[in-house]
Amino acid sequence: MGFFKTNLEFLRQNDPALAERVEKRTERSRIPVEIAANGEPTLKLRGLAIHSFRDPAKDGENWARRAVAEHNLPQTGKVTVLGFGLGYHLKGLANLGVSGTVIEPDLDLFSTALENLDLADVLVNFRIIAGLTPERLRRAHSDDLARTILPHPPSLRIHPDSLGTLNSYGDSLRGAREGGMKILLVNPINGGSLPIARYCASALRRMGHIVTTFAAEAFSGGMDFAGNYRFDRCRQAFRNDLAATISRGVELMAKETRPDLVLALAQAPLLSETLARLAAMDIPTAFWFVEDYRVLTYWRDVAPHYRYFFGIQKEDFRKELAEIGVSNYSYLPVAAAPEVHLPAGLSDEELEAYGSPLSFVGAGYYNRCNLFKGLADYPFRIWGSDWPFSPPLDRLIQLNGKRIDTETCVRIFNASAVNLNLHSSLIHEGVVPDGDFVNPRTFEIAACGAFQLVDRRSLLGELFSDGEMEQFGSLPELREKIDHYLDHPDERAVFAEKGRRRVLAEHTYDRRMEELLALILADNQGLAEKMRLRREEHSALYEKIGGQEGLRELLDRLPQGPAPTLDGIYAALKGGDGELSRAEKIFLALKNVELKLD
Amino acid sequence: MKEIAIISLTRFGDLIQETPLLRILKQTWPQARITLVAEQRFAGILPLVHGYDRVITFAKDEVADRVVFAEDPLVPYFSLEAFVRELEEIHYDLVINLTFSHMSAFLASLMKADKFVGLVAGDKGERLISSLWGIYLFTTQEGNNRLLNRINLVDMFTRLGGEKPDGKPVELIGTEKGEAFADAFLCENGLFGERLIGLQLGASDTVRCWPPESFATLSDLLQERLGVRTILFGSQSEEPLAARALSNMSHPAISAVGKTSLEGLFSLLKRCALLVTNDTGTMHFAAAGGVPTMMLCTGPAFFHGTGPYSSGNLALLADIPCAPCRYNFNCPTLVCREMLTVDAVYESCRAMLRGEPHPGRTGVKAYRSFFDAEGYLDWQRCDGGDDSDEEPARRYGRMWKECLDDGILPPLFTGTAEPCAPELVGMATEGVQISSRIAGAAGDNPLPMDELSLLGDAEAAMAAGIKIHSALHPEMAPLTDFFGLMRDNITAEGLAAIAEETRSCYEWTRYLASRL
Repeated sequence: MGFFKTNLEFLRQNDPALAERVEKRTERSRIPVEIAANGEPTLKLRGLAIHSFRDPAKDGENWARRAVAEHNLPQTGKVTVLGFGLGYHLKGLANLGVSGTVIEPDLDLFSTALENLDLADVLVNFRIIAGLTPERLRRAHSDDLARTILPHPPSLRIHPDSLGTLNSYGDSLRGAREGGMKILLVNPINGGSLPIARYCASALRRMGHIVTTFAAEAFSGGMDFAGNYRFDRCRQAFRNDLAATISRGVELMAKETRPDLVLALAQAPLLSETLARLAAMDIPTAFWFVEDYRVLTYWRDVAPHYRYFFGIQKEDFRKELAEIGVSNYSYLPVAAAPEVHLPAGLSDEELEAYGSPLSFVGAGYYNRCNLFKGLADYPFRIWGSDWPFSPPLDRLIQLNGKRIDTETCVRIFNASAVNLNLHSSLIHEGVVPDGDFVNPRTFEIAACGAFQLVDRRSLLGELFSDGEMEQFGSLPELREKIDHYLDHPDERAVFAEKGRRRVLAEHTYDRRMEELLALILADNQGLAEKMRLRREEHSALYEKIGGQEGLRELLDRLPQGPAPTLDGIYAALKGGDGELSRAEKIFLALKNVELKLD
Repeated sequence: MKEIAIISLTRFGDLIQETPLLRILKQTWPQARITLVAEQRFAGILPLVHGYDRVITFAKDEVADRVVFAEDPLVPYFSLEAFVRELEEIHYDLVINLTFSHMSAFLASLMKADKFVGLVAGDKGERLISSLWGIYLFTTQEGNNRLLNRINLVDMFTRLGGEKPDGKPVELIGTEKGEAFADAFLCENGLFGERLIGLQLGASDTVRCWPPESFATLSDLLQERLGVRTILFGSQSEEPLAARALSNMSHPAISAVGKTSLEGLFSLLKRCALLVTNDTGTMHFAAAGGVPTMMLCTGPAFFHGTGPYSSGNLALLADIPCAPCRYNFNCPTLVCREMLTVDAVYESCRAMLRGEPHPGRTGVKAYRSFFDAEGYLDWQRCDGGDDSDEEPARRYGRMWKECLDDGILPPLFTGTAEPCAPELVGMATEGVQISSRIAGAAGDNPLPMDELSLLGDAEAAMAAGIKIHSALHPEMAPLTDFFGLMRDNITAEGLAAIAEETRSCYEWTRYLASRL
């Protein structure tokens, strides 16, 4: 008893922020402990014993010994323990040389433990993550969750919704990171989600998954062709028929490739009949709706037909989906693609062409036109389409209101002192008062290492910490901050650097795809098992390659990655001069086997 | 010769069409063990095929399935590798690849053998066609060359195997199981003692199918006027066709469609006095069973290359310039099917059954098969019509048989006085001279690089000129394509040796063009 101060000092050395949060808790918030038969403190919560009531220390040691034996610790690396309790089991692990991370959702329980046990050894060996939601943990601590997870069973019983889901999520996350899933990714025909679809494809491939893209954008000209009809009914009929054909095309591609998952991005041309047939083929489908559900409402028609539905908004959207029977919804914000959105050293000519003290890139939505009129006295450049060519904005519009491609966007972000980021609205006068989701531009500007002023969004606070993203809520506040930051380049640089670090750590499409797949695998045990068996089969097959002349050499020539494909191997076959090995001849024979669909 | 392997992975009809080769090989090399490499899905025919000692079956569909659907690329690899291991078990004296696919070429290249004939992949994966007959077989597959081909695939297989045709038909030997089925079928359907005519309705392609309604009318006529009974043959997938035909018959035929195993099909066919058929595998069964066969050639079907391999068969072809059409041509009219009228087919059947001369019908050409003096199968127009338009194909046929038979270029051959293809002879002669000069210069030390460069350009221009020649003179295409394939198959290494082989290509072209 009375270990709080000593423990807190140990904690402060490793994690001052957490120490400060714990310190702010009042003594009254601590949980009353009980005394075990051997005189040590122990605990019961909601009628469930967290530790033994006879000898909690010995019980903790035994648990730790079993965990060490089962997972061959500490040789296999750091671990993540789910549940702090009073820390007996963690002391057991620390005594056996195990280190890692502990996740405890209840800050009061952690505070109680600090008061009641000498936890110096635990606080030295383990980093503590306390009081965070599972969603925040998934996003901010994915590396911890991908490690060997040691669930503390009584803690899981107390927190089934947080620690329980994290336990299965950890397994799935490891599965998602191991790659090897065959994914048919359906691009939209056009629109803002098309680049996101491409970023997703690149991310999934980097993770070692096998991605087949249904490039629906190839039909964009077909949709435009509808404009040649005089009557709206004819245009619509043509578009509907073309959409049905494209949707059927996705089904045929699924038939050819037998994917483990069909992933569609917002505006992807998948009709409900196709989704029903994919379900009949036992192919899970997922949709990432990277749109504002209040503005684009077609989700009502498609969401019930997808097995997994992801969106960029939280509870309100979840409730609306629930009303139409969609329960498998997950919040998944958009992100940046650091391979594209990156700091760029610009030439003087580029700085001249794209730079300005104040800039905005995007379409001329009503609220932007309105708010930006109040900035017309600044040295302000506006890039993008659909802006009205009327005073006072007309003289600010660049390139005659041409659409701006991604590369140019990146140059503009890098070249501007202050990048404005105002989420769009068709009805509001300026800043959307109850705006929730965060747009891609927020992450993209940050990934470029550029400074931005972004309008306040309710979901921004959990994506960026204080000091990482400067926000505004009104025109006067915006003007005040523009003036301030134009005068303080050093402060801009600090924000930009912190924002960039946060994006690289948590808000990339690699992270999003990892999370999306892990959530699907956590829900779909059949698919998770299929992936596990595939990995086992893969390992077994690889054990056999030793006796195969030329096979290892051929596989070694493949680009690094956990999932070689036949096409990848065909591409690696020697062409022209080299003498073919036996393995290469066999693959060439395979390449020429006549294939049949059924 | 102790170990011979024959790779036959194309169709089950091919397994029938190679029976003469098996027979002759066995006669020539009675001590040799012959291994047949066949597709698993055609294995049903193997009890009927004689002349081989051992069989290795290839489950190609399973491997294909794994190529498409297996999650790991090593799954199809090891699936195929298991088959390859069987191929590698024995060192063969001779491997004859009768399958003209790249897949089979790589499989052949994995086998251990002293000699390969047919298609095989080289050490670097290049396509090699060994033997002149192999090159000729490939030549017939190019463009419209098959229309100028008079040599049946069976004879090409035999020649590819290094043997000469013996004037005997393809052969299968019925099994007890098949005979028992045929007896039971005839008994169940009250057909014992009846004169039977088989009708094969289906084919691999719709354009090769005479309409089932026409078959229905033919069946009625045969039964009404000649007092025969008709049996419909076909696989399970052809049941809808049979249903269409049966629904149009006044006197329903007996349907064996989808009811026969391959052994049963063969034994039941043998009980027929005649088979009227589209271009199908059933047609080859009939030929192997000694059953007179009438082949209805519609679309691209053509009797010269793949007609039934026995004498006394009849082939009917619409008398229009476009028949037979080219492969994969999507004909909007299918006029060739309409021109083969029911009356024309019926009259032909009646004449065949009665052993009478063909009656001749306007709009239809009729051909009868026979073995020529050298033992090759040939077809003679028998409807009394003019067959002078076939003279170019006849000349080609004679030329290939005479020139390729020994596979040896006559020494000091200088050409005939009045060649049929003087321009080609001239170009080939020039090619001989250029390649001879390259061969000569290649022996100089140091190499005359400038001269060789000029000569190389000249040779390439000549080769291109020969190719272009066939565009201007399509009737020369078999020769120019033969030249092109020979030139593609040069395996020599080193400039002088390559030049010698190139010269040989031109010499052969000059020789062949002179003899046309």
